[in-house]
Amino acid sequence: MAGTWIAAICTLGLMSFVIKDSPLYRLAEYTFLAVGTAYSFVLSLERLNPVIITPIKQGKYTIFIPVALGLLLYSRFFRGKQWLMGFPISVTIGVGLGLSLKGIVSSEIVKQLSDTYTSIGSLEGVLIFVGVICVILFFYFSRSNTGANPPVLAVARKIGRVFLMIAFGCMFSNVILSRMTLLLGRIKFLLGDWLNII
Amino acid sequence: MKYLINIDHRIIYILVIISITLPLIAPLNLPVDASEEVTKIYQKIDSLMPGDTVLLLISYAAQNEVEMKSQSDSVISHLFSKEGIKIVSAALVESGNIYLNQYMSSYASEYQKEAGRDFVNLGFVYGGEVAVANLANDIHQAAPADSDGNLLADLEMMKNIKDGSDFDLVINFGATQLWSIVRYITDVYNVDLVSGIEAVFAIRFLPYYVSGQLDGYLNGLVGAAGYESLIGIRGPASKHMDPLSSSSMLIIVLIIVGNISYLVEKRQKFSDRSAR
Repeated sequence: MAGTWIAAICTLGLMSFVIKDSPLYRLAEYTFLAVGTAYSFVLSLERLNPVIITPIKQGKYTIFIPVALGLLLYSRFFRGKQWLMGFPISVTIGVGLGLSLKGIVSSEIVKQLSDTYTSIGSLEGVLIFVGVICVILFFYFSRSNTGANPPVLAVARKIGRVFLMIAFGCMFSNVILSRMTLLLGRIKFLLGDWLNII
Repeated sequence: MKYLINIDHRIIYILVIISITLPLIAPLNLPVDASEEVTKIYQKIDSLMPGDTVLLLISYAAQNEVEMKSQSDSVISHLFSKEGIKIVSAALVESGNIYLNQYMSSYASEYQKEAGRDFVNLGFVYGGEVAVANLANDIHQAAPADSDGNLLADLEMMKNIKDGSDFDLVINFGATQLWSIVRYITDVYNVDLVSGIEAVFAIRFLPYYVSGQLDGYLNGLVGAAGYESLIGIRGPASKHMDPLSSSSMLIIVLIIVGNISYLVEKRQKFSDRSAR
Protein backbone atom coordinates (compact mmCIF):
# COMPACT_ATOMS: atom_id res chain seq x y z
CA MET A 1 0.00 0.00 0.00
CA ALA A 2 2.73 2.47 1.02
CA GLY A 3 4.77 1.40 -2.00
CA THR A 4 1.85 2.16 -4.33
CA TRP A 5 1.41 5.62 -2.79
CA ILE A 6 5.12 6.42 -3.08
CA ALA A 7 5.11 5.23 -6.71
CA ALA A 8 2.00 7.30 -7.45
CA ILE A 9 3.49 10.45 -5.89
CA CYS A 10 6.76 9.92 -7.81
CA THR A 11 4.81 9.38 -11.07
CA LEU A 12 2.80 12.58 -10.58
CA GLY A 13 5.99 14.40 -9.60
CA LEU A 14 7.74 13.36 -12.81
CA MET A 15 4.66 14.19 -14.89
CA SER A 16 4.50 17.66 -13.30
CA PHE A 17 7.56 18.58 -15.39
CA VAL A 18 5.29 19.12 -18.42
CA ILE A 19 3.81 22.10 -16.55
CA LYS A 20 7.11 23.34 -15.08
CA ASP A 21 10.12 22.30 -13.04
CA SER A 22 9.06 21.77 -9.41
CA PRO A 23 10.51 20.44 -6.11
CA LEU A 24 8.24 17.39 -6.45
CA TYR A 25 9.78 16.63 -9.84
CA ARG A 26 13.29 16.95 -8.36
CA LEU A 27 12.35 14.70 -5.45
CA ALA A 28 11.00 12.01 -7.81
CA GLU A 29 14.04 12.28 -10.09
CA TYR A 30 16.56 11.97 -7.23
CA THR A 31 14.58 9.14 -5.63
CA PHE A 32 14.71 7.20 -8.90
CA LEU A 33 18.46 7.76 -9.24
CA ALA A 34 19.12 6.86 -5.61
CA VAL A 35 17.08 3.65 -5.75
CA GLY A 36 18.74 2.62 -9.03
CA THR A 37 22.24 3.26 -7.69
CA ALA A 38 21.53 1.45 -4.42
CA TYR A 39 20.10 -1.56 -6.26
CA SER A 40 23.14 -1.77 -8.57
CA PHE A 41 25.46 -1.53 -5.56
CA VAL A 42 23.72 -4.34 -3.67
CA LEU A 43 23.69 -6.50 -6.80
CA SER A 44 27.42 -5.88 -7.24
CA LEU A 45 28.12 -7.05 -3.70
CA GLU A 46 25.99 -10.18 -4.23
CA ARG A 47 27.99 -11.07 -7.35
CA LEU A 48 31.28 -11.06 -5.41
CA ASN A 49 30.54 -14.58 -4.18
CA PRO A 50 29.97 -16.42 -7.50
CA VAL A 51 32.44 -14.34 -9.54
CA ILE A 52 35.39 -14.01 -7.11
CA ILE A 53 35.06 -16.06 -3.93
CA THR A 54 33.81 -19.29 -5.53
CA PRO A 55 36.64 -19.49 -8.12
CA ILE A 56 39.22 -18.83 -5.38
CA LYS A 57 37.73 -21.67 -3.31
CA GLN A 58 38.04 -23.88 -6.42
CA GLY A 59 41.75 -23.01 -6.62
CA LYS A 60 41.46 -20.76 -9.67
CA TYR A 61 43.93 -18.18 -8.44
CA THR A 62 44.21 -16.43 -11.82
CA ILE A 63 41.09 -14.50 -10.71
CA PHE A 64 43.45 -12.35 -8.60
CA ILE A 65 44.71 -10.64 -11.78
CA PRO A 66 41.36 -9.02 -12.74
CA VAL A 67 40.64 -8.37 -9.05
CA ALA A 68 43.95 -6.51 -8.70
CA LEU A 69 43.25 -4.54 -11.89
CA GLY A 70 39.81 -3.64 -10.55
CA LEU A 71 41.24 -2.47 -7.22
CA LEU A 72 43.72 -0.24 -9.08
CA LEU A 73 40.74 1.87 -10.17
CA TYR A 74 40.55 3.14 -6.59
CA SER A 75 44.08 4.58 -6.87
CA ARG A 76 42.46 7.83 -7.95
CA PHE A 77 41.71 8.47 -4.27
CA PHE A 78 45.44 8.43 -3.38
CA ARG A 79 47.40 11.54 -4.24
CA GLY A 80 50.40 10.81 -6.44
CA LYS A 81 49.21 7.29 -7.28
CA GLN A 82 46.48 8.21 -9.75
CA TRP A 83 48.63 7.04 -12.69
CA LEU A 84 48.01 3.43 -11.61
CA MET A 85 44.41 3.85 -12.75
CA GLY A 86 45.65 3.88 -16.35
CA PHE A 87 46.34 0.11 -16.31
CA PRO A 88 42.78 -1.16 -15.73
CA ILE A 89 41.35 1.50 -18.05
CA SER A 90 43.73 0.56 -20.88
CA VAL A 91 43.00 -3.17 -20.41
CA THR A 92 39.23 -2.51 -20.43
CA ILE A 93 39.39 -0.34 -23.54
CA GLY A 94 41.74 -2.78 -25.29
CA VAL A 95 39.55 -5.81 -24.58
CA GLY A 96 36.40 -3.91 -25.54
CA LEU A 97 37.87 -2.66 -28.82
CA GLY A 98 39.33 -6.04 -29.70
CA LEU A 99 36.01 -7.81 -29.09
CA SER A 100 33.99 -5.16 -30.93
CA LEU A 101 36.23 -5.14 -34.01
CA LYS A 102 36.11 -8.92 -34.29
CA GLY A 103 32.32 -9.00 -34.03
CA ILE A 104 31.52 -5.90 -36.05
CA VAL A 105 33.55 -6.90 -39.11
CA SER A 106 31.87 -10.26 -39.55
CA SER A 107 28.30 -9.56 -38.28
CA GLU A 108 27.72 -5.97 -39.25
CA ILE A 109 29.86 -5.44 -42.34
CA VAL A 110 30.45 -8.76 -44.12
CA LYS A 111 27.05 -10.38 -43.44
CA GLN A 112 25.05 -7.21 -44.04
CA LEU A 113 26.94 -6.46 -47.26
CA SER A 114 26.66 -9.99 -48.59
CA ASP A 115 22.90 -10.01 -47.89
CA THR A 116 22.54 -6.67 -49.69
CA TYR A 117 23.71 -8.12 -53.00
CA THR A 118 22.57 -11.75 -52.63
CA SER A 119 18.90 -10.76 -52.16
CA ILE A 120 18.91 -8.66 -55.33
CA GLY A 121 16.69 -11.18 -57.17
CA SER A 122 13.49 -9.86 -55.56
CA LEU A 123 11.85 -6.42 -55.74
CA GLU A 124 12.54 -5.94 -52.01
CA GLY A 125 16.18 -6.87 -52.61
CA VAL A 126 16.52 -4.36 -55.48
CA LEU A 127 15.00 -1.61 -53.32
CA ILE A 128 17.41 -2.40 -50.48
CA PHE A 129 20.39 -2.44 -52.87
CA VAL A 130 19.43 0.88 -54.49
CA GLY A 131 18.69 2.40 -51.06
CA VAL A 132 22.06 1.35 -49.61
CA ILE A 133 24.06 2.67 -52.59
CA CYS A 134 22.15 5.98 -52.78
CA VAL A 135 22.32 6.62 -49.02
CA ILE A 136 26.08 5.91 -48.99
CA LEU A 137 26.48 8.35 -51.91
CA PHE A 138 24.40 10.92 -50.02
CA PHE A 139 27.11 10.97 -47.36
CA TYR A 140 29.91 11.24 -49.94
CA PHE A 141 31.03 14.80 -49.26
CA SER A 142 34.30 14.87 -51.25
CA ARG A 143 33.28 16.94 -54.26
CA SER A 144 35.39 18.06 -57.13
CA ASN A 145 37.02 21.48 -56.60
CA THR A 146 36.34 22.39 -60.22
CA GLY A 147 32.62 22.01 -59.58
CA ALA A 148 32.27 19.30 -62.20
CA ASN A 149 30.43 16.55 -60.35
CA PRO A 150 28.89 13.73 -62.38
CA PRO A 151 25.08 14.14 -62.72
CA VAL A 152 24.58 10.56 -61.55
CA LEU A 153 25.88 11.64 -58.12
CA ALA A 154 23.25 14.38 -57.86
CA VAL A 155 20.47 11.95 -58.81
CA ALA A 156 21.74 9.34 -56.35
CA ARG A 157 21.78 11.93 -53.57
CA LYS A 158 18.18 12.90 -54.28
CA ILE A 159 17.09 9.24 -54.18
CA GLY A 160 19.20 8.71 -51.06
CA ARG A 161 17.43 11.61 -49.36
CA VAL A 162 14.04 10.00 -50.09
CA PHE A 163 15.21 6.70 -48.54
CA LEU A 164 16.56 8.56 -45.51
CA MET A 165 13.28 10.45 -45.02
CA ILE A 166 11.30 7.18 -45.18
CA ALA A 167 13.67 5.60 -42.64
CA PHE A 168 13.44 8.62 -40.31
CA GLY A 169 9.63 8.55 -40.62
CA CYS A 170 9.57 4.88 -39.59
CA MET A 171 11.88 5.59 -36.65
CA PHE A 172 9.78 8.56 -35.56
CA SER A 173 6.58 6.50 -35.63
CA ASN A 174 8.23 3.83 -33.47
CA VAL A 175 9.48 6.46 -31.03
CA ILE A 176 5.92 7.78 -30.67
CA LEU A 177 4.63 4.24 -30.19
CA SER A 178 7.22 3.57 -27.51
CA ARG A 179 6.62 6.84 -25.64
CA MET A 180 2.85 6.33 -25.76
CA THR A 181 3.39 2.88 -24.25
CA LEU A 182 5.37 4.42 -21.38
CA LEU A 183 2.62 6.96 -20.71
CA LEU A 184 -0.03 4.26 -21.02
CA GLY A 185 1.76 2.19 -18.38
CA ARG A 186 1.84 5.08 -15.93
CA ILE A 187 -1.81 6.08 -16.53
CA LYS A 188 -2.89 2.46 -16.10
CA PHE A 189 -0.95 2.31 -12.84
CA LEU A 190 -2.53 5.53 -11.55
CA LEU A 191 -6.08 4.56 -12.52
CA GLY A 192 -5.79 0.87 -11.70
CA ASP A 193 -3.32 0.11 -8.91
CA TRP A 194 -3.62 3.47 -7.15
CA LEU A 195 -7.19 4.75 -7.62
CA ASN A 196 -8.85 1.38 -8.46
CA ILE A 197 -11.03 3.01 -11.15
CA ILE A 198 -10.24 0.39 -13.82
CA MET B 1 -4.46 28.95 -38.37
CA LYS B 2 -1.98 30.95 -36.32
CA TYR B 3 -3.71 29.62 -33.19
CA LEU B 4 -3.22 26.03 -34.33
CA ILE B 5 0.50 26.55 -34.99
CA ASN B 6 1.05 28.29 -31.65
CA ILE B 7 -1.19 25.97 -29.64
CA ASP B 8 -0.12 25.54 -26.01
CA HIS B 9 1.72 22.22 -25.72
CA ARG B 10 -0.15 21.49 -22.47
CA ILE B 11 -3.41 21.22 -24.44
CA ILE B 12 -1.78 18.51 -26.58
CA TYR B 13 -0.65 16.66 -23.44
CA ILE B 14 -4.19 16.78 -22.06
CA LEU B 15 -5.61 15.48 -25.37
CA VAL B 16 -3.09 12.62 -25.37
CA ILE B 17 -3.92 11.71 -21.76
CA ILE B 18 -7.65 11.72 -22.59
CA SER B 19 -7.08 9.58 -25.70
CA ILE B 20 -5.32 6.99 -23.51
CA THR B 21 -7.63 7.16 -20.50
CA LEU B 22 -11.01 6.85 -22.26
CA PRO B 23 -10.32 3.47 -23.94
CA LEU B 24 -8.91 2.17 -20.64
CA ILE B 25 -12.20 3.00 -18.89
CA ALA B 26 -14.42 1.93 -21.82
CA PRO B 27 -12.50 -0.68 -23.90
CA LEU B 28 -13.22 -0.98 -27.63
CA ASN B 29 -11.81 -4.55 -27.88
CA LEU B 30 -10.15 -3.95 -31.24
CA PRO B 31 -9.04 -7.12 -33.07
CA VAL B 32 -5.34 -8.06 -32.83
CA ASP B 33 -3.32 -9.95 -35.47
CA ALA B 34 0.17 -11.41 -35.49
CA SER B 35 2.61 -10.23 -38.15
CA GLU B 36 5.03 -12.52 -40.01
CA GLU B 37 8.00 -11.84 -37.72
CA VAL B 38 5.87 -12.58 -34.62
CA THR B 39 4.54 -15.82 -36.14
CA LYS B 40 8.12 -16.94 -36.81
CA ILE B 41 8.97 -16.66 -33.09
CA TYR B 42 5.89 -18.69 -32.22
CA GLN B 43 6.88 -21.37 -34.76
CA LYS B 44 10.48 -21.51 -33.50
CA ILE B 45 9.37 -22.07 -29.91
CA ASP B 46 6.56 -24.44 -30.87
CA SER B 47 8.93 -26.63 -32.90
CA LEU B 48 11.35 -27.17 -29.97
CA MET B 49 11.76 -30.87 -29.18
CA PRO B 50 12.42 -32.55 -25.78
CA GLY B 51 16.12 -32.26 -24.97
CA ASP B 52 16.58 -29.00 -26.89
CA THR B 53 18.42 -26.27 -25.01
CA VAL B 54 17.43 -22.61 -24.95
CA LEU B 55 19.42 -19.60 -23.76
CA LEU B 56 17.01 -17.03 -22.32
CA LEU B 57 18.41 -13.53 -21.84
CA ILE B 58 16.82 -10.45 -20.29
CA SER B 59 18.44 -7.17 -21.27
CA TYR B 60 15.78 -4.55 -20.68
CA ALA B 61 15.50 -2.03 -17.88
CA ALA B 62 12.60 -1.17 -15.57
CA GLN B 63 11.44 1.87 -17.57
CA ASN B 64 10.39 -0.40 -20.46
CA GLU B 65 8.37 -2.72 -18.24
CA VAL B 66 4.99 -2.16 -19.93
CA GLU B 67 5.98 -3.36 -23.38
CA MET B 68 8.75 -5.77 -22.44
CA LYS B 69 7.00 -7.55 -19.58
CA SER B 70 3.99 -8.21 -21.80
CA GLN B 71 6.31 -9.73 -24.41
CA SER B 72 8.29 -11.79 -21.91
CA ASP B 73 5.21 -13.09 -20.12
CA SER B 74 3.59 -14.55 -23.22
CA VAL B 75 6.79 -15.94 -24.79
CA ILE B 76 8.26 -17.43 -21.57
CA SER B 77 4.90 -18.93 -20.65
CA HIS B 78 4.80 -20.63 -24.08
CA LEU B 79 8.43 -21.77 -23.63
CA PHE B 80 7.80 -23.29 -20.20
CA SER B 81 4.70 -25.12 -21.50
CA LYS B 82 6.98 -27.20 -23.79
CA GLU B 83 8.00 -30.54 -22.29
CA GLY B 84 11.63 -31.54 -21.83
CA ILE B 85 13.22 -28.22 -22.82
CA LYS B 86 16.39 -27.19 -20.98
CA ILE B 87 16.55 -23.47 -20.25
CA VAL B 88 19.62 -21.49 -19.20
CA SER B 89 18.65 -17.95 -18.25
CA ALA B 90 20.58 -14.79 -17.41
CA ALA B 91 20.02 -11.07 -17.01
CA LEU B 92 22.42 -8.76 -18.84
CA VAL B 93 21.31 -5.53 -17.14
CA GLU B 94 20.87 -4.89 -13.42
CA SER B 95 17.10 -4.32 -13.27
CA GLY B 96 16.55 -7.20 -15.71
CA ASN B 97 17.50 -9.46 -12.82
CA ILE B 98 14.29 -8.51 -10.96
CA TYR B 99 12.13 -9.67 -13.87
CA LEU B 100 14.23 -12.76 -14.54
CA ASN B 101 13.80 -13.99 -10.95
CA GLN B 102 10.04 -13.30 -11.15
CA TYR B 103 9.63 -15.26 -14.41
CA MET B 104 11.74 -18.19 -13.28
CA SER B 105 9.98 -18.63 -9.94
CA SER B 106 6.41 -18.06 -11.16
CA TYR B 107 6.55 -20.16 -14.34
CA ALA B 108 8.59 -22.91 -12.66
CA SER B 109 5.84 -23.43 -10.10
CA GLU B 110 3.05 -23.07 -12.70
CA TYR B 111 4.55 -25.69 -15.06
CA GLN B 112 6.23 -27.85 -12.34
CA LYS B 113 9.77 -27.23 -13.57
CA GLU B 114 12.70 -27.93 -11.28
CA ALA B 115 15.74 -25.65 -10.90
CA GLY B 116 18.93 -27.45 -11.89
CA ARG B 117 17.03 -30.13 -13.82
CA ASP B 118 14.79 -28.18 -16.23
CA PHE B 119 16.28 -24.73 -15.95
CA VAL B 120 19.25 -22.85 -14.52
CA ASN B 121 19.01 -19.21 -13.51
CA LEU B 122 22.45 -17.57 -13.69
CA GLY B 123 21.10 -14.24 -12.38
CA PHE B 124 22.76 -11.00 -13.41
CA VAL B 125 25.96 -11.54 -15.41
CA TYR B 126 28.25 -8.53 -15.22
CA GLY B 127 30.13 -6.93 -18.07
CA GLY B 128 27.73 -6.02 -20.88
CA GLU B 129 29.34 -6.90 -24.20
CA VAL B 130 32.25 -8.71 -22.52
CA ALA B 131 29.78 -10.78 -20.46
CA VAL B 132 27.99 -11.91 -23.63
CA ALA B 133 31.32 -12.85 -25.23
CA ASN B 134 32.27 -14.79 -22.08
CA LEU B 135 28.93 -16.61 -21.99
CA ALA B 136 29.44 -17.59 -25.62
CA ASN B 137 32.97 -18.92 -25.01
CA ASP B 138 32.56 -20.65 -21.65
CA ILE B 139 29.40 -20.40 -19.56
CA HIS B 140 31.02 -22.13 -16.59
CA GLN B 141 33.74 -19.50 -16.47
CA ALA B 142 31.42 -16.52 -17.12
CA ALA B 143 29.06 -17.55 -14.31
CA PRO B 144 30.58 -20.30 -12.11
CA ALA B 145 27.44 -20.51 -9.92
CA ASP B 146 23.70 -19.97 -10.40
CA SER B 147 21.66 -17.29 -8.61
CA ASP B 148 21.19 -19.62 -5.60
CA GLY B 149 24.93 -20.18 -5.26
CA ASN B 150 24.96 -23.73 -6.68
CA LEU B 151 28.08 -24.49 -8.71
CA LEU B 152 27.28 -25.08 -12.39
CA ALA B 153 29.78 -27.95 -12.40
CA ASP B 154 27.58 -29.77 -9.86
CA LEU B 155 24.36 -29.37 -11.84
CA GLU B 156 23.42 -32.40 -13.99
CA MET B 157 21.76 -30.21 -16.63
CA MET B 158 24.89 -28.11 -17.17
CA LYS B 159 27.25 -31.08 -17.74
CA ASN B 160 26.68 -30.95 -21.51
CA ILE B 161 26.13 -27.21 -21.82
CA LYS B 162 29.47 -25.48 -22.06
CA ASP B 163 29.35 -22.73 -24.68
CA GLY B 164 27.23 -21.04 -27.34
CA SER B 165 27.33 -24.06 -29.66
CA ASP B 166 25.32 -26.14 -27.17
CA PHE B 167 22.14 -24.09 -27.65
CA ASP B 168 19.39 -24.70 -30.19
CA LEU B 169 17.74 -21.33 -29.73
CA VAL B 170 18.57 -17.99 -28.12
CA ILE B 171 15.64 -15.88 -26.88
CA ASN B 172 16.42 -12.32 -25.86
CA PHE B 173 14.29 -9.49 -24.51
CA GLY B 174 15.56 -5.92 -24.85
CA ALA B 175 17.76 -4.16 -27.39
CA THR B 176 20.61 -3.25 -25.01
CA GLN B 177 22.77 -6.33 -25.73
CA LEU B 178 21.12 -7.64 -28.91
CA TRP B 179 24.06 -6.49 -31.05
CA SER B 180 26.47 -8.39 -28.80
CA ILE B 181 24.33 -11.53 -28.91
CA VAL B 182 24.38 -11.47 -32.71
CA ARG B 183 28.13 -10.79 -32.82
CA TYR B 184 29.34 -13.33 -30.24
CA ILE B 185 26.75 -16.09 -29.99
CA THR B 186 24.32 -16.61 -32.85
CA ASP B 187 26.52 -15.58 -35.81
CA VAL B 188 29.58 -17.38 -34.46
CA TYR B 189 27.87 -20.67 -33.53
CA ASN B 190 25.08 -20.50 -36.15
CA VAL B 191 22.32 -20.61 -33.53
CA ASP B 192 18.75 -19.38 -34.14
CA LEU B 193 17.92 -16.06 -32.47
CA VAL B 194 14.56 -14.47 -31.69
CA SER B 195 14.10 -11.30 -29.70
CA GLY B 196 11.61 -8.96 -28.12
CA ILE B 197 12.63 -5.37 -28.83
CA GLU B 198 11.48 -2.02 -27.43
CA ALA B 199 9.49 -0.21 -30.16
CA VAL B 200 11.96 2.68 -30.11
CA PHE B 201 14.77 0.35 -31.28
CA ALA B 202 12.83 -2.03 -33.52
CA ILE B 203 13.63 -0.31 -36.84
CA ARG B 204 17.37 -0.49 -36.14
CA PHE B 205 17.20 -4.27 -36.06
CA LEU B 206 15.18 -4.68 -39.25
CA PRO B 207 18.38 -5.22 -41.34
CA TYR B 208 19.28 -8.16 -39.08
CA TYR B 209 15.85 -9.71 -39.64
CA VAL B 210 16.04 -9.22 -43.42
CA SER B 211 19.55 -10.76 -43.54
CA GLY B 212 18.39 -13.77 -41.47
CA GLN B 213 20.66 -12.99 -38.51
CA LEU B 214 17.49 -12.48 -36.47
CA ASP B 215 14.85 -15.16 -37.05
CA GLY B 216 11.91 -13.23 -35.61
CA TYR B 217 11.20 -10.25 -33.41
CA LEU B 218 8.45 -8.64 -31.34
CA ASN B 219 8.07 -4.90 -31.90
CA GLY B 220 7.08 -3.36 -28.56
CA LEU B 221 3.56 -3.73 -27.27
CA VAL B 222 2.17 -4.41 -30.78
CA GLY B 223 4.41 -7.48 -31.09
CA ALA B 224 3.41 -8.65 -27.60
CA ALA B 225 -0.29 -8.36 -28.51
CA GLY B 226 0.35 -10.36 -31.70
CA TYR B 227 2.01 -13.14 -29.68
CA GLU B 228 -0.89 -13.19 -27.22
CA SER B 229 -3.26 -13.74 -30.15
CA LEU B 230 -1.15 -16.72 -31.29
CA ILE B 231 -1.20 -18.43 -27.89
CA GLY B 232 -4.93 -17.74 -27.65
CA ILE B 233 -5.16 -15.28 -24.78
CA ARG B 234 -6.35 -11.68 -24.51
CA GLY B 235 -3.65 -10.51 -22.11
CA PRO B 236 -2.48 -7.08 -20.99
CA ALA B 237 -0.81 -6.24 -24.34
CA SER B 238 -4.01 -6.96 -26.32
CA LYS B 239 -6.01 -4.84 -23.87
CA HIS B 240 -3.49 -2.01 -24.27
CA MET B 241 -4.01 -1.95 -28.02
CA ASP B 242 -7.19 0.18 -27.64
CA PRO B 243 -5.54 3.17 -25.89
CA LEU B 244 -2.41 2.78 -28.03
CA SER B 245 -4.50 2.90 -31.24
CA SER B 246 -6.55 5.90 -30.11
CA SER B 247 -3.47 7.89 -29.03
CA SER B 248 -1.69 7.01 -32.30
CA MET B 249 -4.75 8.21 -34.25
CA LEU B 250 -4.68 11.46 -32.29
CA ILE B 251 -0.99 11.98 -33.15
CA ILE B 252 -1.70 11.31 -36.85
CA VAL B 253 -4.55 13.87 -36.79
CA LEU B 254 -2.30 16.41 -35.02
CA ILE B 255 0.49 15.88 -37.59
CA ILE B 256 -1.98 16.40 -40.46
CA VAL B 257 -3.52 19.51 -38.84
CA GLY B 258 -0.05 20.89 -38.07
CA ASN B 259 1.12 20.41 -41.67
CA ILE B 260 -2.03 21.93 -43.17
CA SER B 261 -1.75 24.97 -40.84
CA TYR B 262 1.90 25.38 -41.77
CA LEU B 263 1.17 25.22 -45.52
CA VAL B 264 -1.79 27.60 -45.27
CA GLU B 265 0.22 30.13 -43.31
CA LYS B 266 3.12 29.84 -45.75
CA ARG B 267 0.75 30.50 -48.68
CA GLN B 268 -0.78 33.49 -46.85
CA LYS B 269 2.67 34.99 -46.22
CA PHE B 270 3.54 34.47 -49.90
CA SER B 271 0.30 36.14 -51.13
CA ASP B 272 0.78 39.05 -48.65
CA ARG B 273 4.29 39.60 -49.97
CA SER B 274 3.18 39.55 -53.64
CA ALA B 275 0.28 41.98 -52.83
CA ARG B 276 2.86 44.48 -51.51
